[in-house]
Amino acid sequence: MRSPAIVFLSLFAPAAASAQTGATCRPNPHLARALESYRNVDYSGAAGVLQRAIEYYGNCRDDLAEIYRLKGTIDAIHGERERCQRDFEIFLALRPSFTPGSKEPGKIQSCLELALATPPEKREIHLEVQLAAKVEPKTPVPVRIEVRDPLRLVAEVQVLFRREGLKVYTVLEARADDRLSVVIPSLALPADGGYAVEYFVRAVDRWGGTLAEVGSAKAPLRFWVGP
Amino acid sequence: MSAEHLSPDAISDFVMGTLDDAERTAFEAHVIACDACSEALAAEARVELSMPAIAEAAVRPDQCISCRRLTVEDRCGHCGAARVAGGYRTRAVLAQGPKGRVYLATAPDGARVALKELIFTQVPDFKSVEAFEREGQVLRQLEHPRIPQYIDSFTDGEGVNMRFFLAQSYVEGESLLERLSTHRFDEREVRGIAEQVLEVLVYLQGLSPAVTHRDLKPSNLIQREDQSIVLVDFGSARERGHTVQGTFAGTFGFAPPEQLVGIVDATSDLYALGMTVIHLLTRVVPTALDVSYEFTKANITPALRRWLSKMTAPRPRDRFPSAAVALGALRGLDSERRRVPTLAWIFGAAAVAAGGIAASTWRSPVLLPLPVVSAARSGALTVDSTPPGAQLVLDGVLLFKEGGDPLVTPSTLERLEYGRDYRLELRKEGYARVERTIRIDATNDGSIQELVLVAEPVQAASPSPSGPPSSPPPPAPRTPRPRAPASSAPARPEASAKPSSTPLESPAPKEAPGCEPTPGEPPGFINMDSIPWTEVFWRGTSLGETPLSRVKLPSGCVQLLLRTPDGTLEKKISILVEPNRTKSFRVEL
Repeated sequence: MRSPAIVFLSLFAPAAASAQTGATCRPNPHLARALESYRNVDYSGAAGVLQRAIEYYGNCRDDLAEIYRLKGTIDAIHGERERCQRDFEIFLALRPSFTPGSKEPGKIQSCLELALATPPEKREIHLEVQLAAKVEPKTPVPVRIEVRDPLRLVAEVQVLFRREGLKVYTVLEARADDRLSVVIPSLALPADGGYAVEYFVRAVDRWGGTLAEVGSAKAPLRFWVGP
Repeated sequence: MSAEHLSPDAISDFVMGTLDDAERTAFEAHVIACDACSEALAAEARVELSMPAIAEAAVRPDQCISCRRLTVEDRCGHCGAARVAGGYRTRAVLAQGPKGRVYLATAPDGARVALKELIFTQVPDFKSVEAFEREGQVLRQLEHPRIPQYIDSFTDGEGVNMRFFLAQSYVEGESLLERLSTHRFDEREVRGIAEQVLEVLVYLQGLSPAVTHRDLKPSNLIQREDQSIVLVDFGSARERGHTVQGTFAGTFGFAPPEQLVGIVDATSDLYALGMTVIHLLTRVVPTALDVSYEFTKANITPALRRWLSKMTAPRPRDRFPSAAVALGALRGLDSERRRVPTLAWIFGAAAVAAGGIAASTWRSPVLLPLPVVSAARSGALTVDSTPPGAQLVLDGVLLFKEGGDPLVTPSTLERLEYGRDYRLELRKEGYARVERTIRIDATNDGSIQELVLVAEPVQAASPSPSGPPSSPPPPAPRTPRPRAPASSAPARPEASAKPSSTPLESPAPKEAPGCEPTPGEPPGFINMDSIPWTEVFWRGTSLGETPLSRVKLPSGCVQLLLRTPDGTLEKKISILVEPNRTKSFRVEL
């Protein structure tokens, strides 16, 4: 019954203020530089910048996908077959809808095909969230999350929630595990009438880059608090 | 609830969530207006926040990987070994010293890494911090299969509790120092080790600016199960060309004398490698080594002894000038009883040839005693070719080893007379001959020069039907090799795209007139892409498919042929390759 303090922190304490800013991802400036190097046929230069791009904190999922796609391409150019296959597997995990074309150079195409040959269950990141559609006020709400991460990329799972009408999300973080439960504390759900809470869940890598999401900052899920 | 300050019980009740709505509203109104209560509340909340973490840790204590005591902290309270650092979970202590430890750790993605930790007992030691940062910087730039791959570097903690961490790929194996305690190395093994290390040093010295390891020794050479050698610990490494500082980095005995005063050059690592090899052979640590005496005990060939003497010469100018030259010389040695030919054999062969014996044919070994050129008036030359295995002909005389086998590249020709012009010819079946005039002079006393010759393939489409297969074609007339204009564009199309009538035919091997590599200069590199993607040929040899990265080519004007996989499009381009530089360009067909 001590956990409600978490809510207090996120609402009042200075230390928690930063936890309310992480809802949206930031465009990665290193990715643009890496692409520029790639376009200038400077493959070694691009490879160096790409590592910085990966380590850039808070990558968007699309950016991450592009980073790994480019990294796979460059590793293929350098003849690093195992690395490029893993890069492309990560890319496919981040962009499952990707459909390969036939215009890729041979050595890149063959590496991509290797990644595509990996069964989806061995490369796709899967995030499943269970939460009641209606909860009681002043009651802790457990968010049950199941993570399937065959590529072992997910370092942390974040639950971001806000009372409908507010602009910022409060973030709850938990170290990644196959199954975990993150509790939205009771103090975050006061008993002042019925209201909706918006939330979404995302799995992030060790640099806070988004790997998978259920809901999103712009299209959150909702549950109802109160009568 | 008091109007002045909130009681600890009220704060606790609020944090516990036991206040009713009215009390909570009043409480919050007071906290917003009162800084003291706000701070008290934050302190209480921090305690609350830490409870779950403490509870979680308390139920899952780990055994310290170093002292085996139970611990729930990220760092063992008894011995200080890290349990978790920067997301890495340590598994074992691989090495430890007064300034830190090296852990075997698991990365968040499950990969095994070597996690190097720098610790401070009092205040951070500038030299140690600098070495640590330098190692990270150097490793980040390096990419070689025999150098651990840089993964991450970060700090943990603050002030005197600060730790520096460097994560790099874990090299599974045994250091040569460890191996020395259970194994006796023979000449064949140490030559293999030296060759592998020299290949790494050639890579490091080929970088711009070159990198000097500065602490090469048996404990920094890890032997994997497949016997390959990995060079680790770049904490003392330095980019050459930086200002020399009066600080010593390295290990006494293995570091050359001049390194004691902070002077390093390309020969420094060679000296250390030489001492390492001697250490492996003699099992005597260099500081206790009497080289001349211990050498007599080491069961090695005179050729290797000479090579080691040159590697470990006290004066840098007496050593091999670079790792490439040292490697060429090492490969030229014959570890058996065979020796490299001296001028004695060459003159002997010439004498036989003059006597009417067909000394210049491919299958006539010639071994005759003969006048020896004074060592004081002679030098040596290492000859290599691309591809290797070309037979050597000196002044029209085919050279053979003592055992009767033809002498092939890479090889070292010893005791070439100063100031004399020798005509050196390389022959390889399927390739055109290459000739050079070479001269050793007194300024290169005792040193070995390296001359890289590039063999030309014979045009496959027009083999000579008349001559015997083993008979090499006559020497191709040497055309002058003008340097391509320095201002030329990176890629200069010479022929427009055209359909090929015979897609699988071998591409034309010759350069366009006036476009040839510049002899005697170090090679350069190209990055290249094409639209659509193509296979790229140079002198009939495929360089691979585009995009190409860091492809090594001789410097000067080089003509490339680009061909699509279906053979429907092809294009010739001429490029100017600059020595030791990388040229990047894209071609549209």
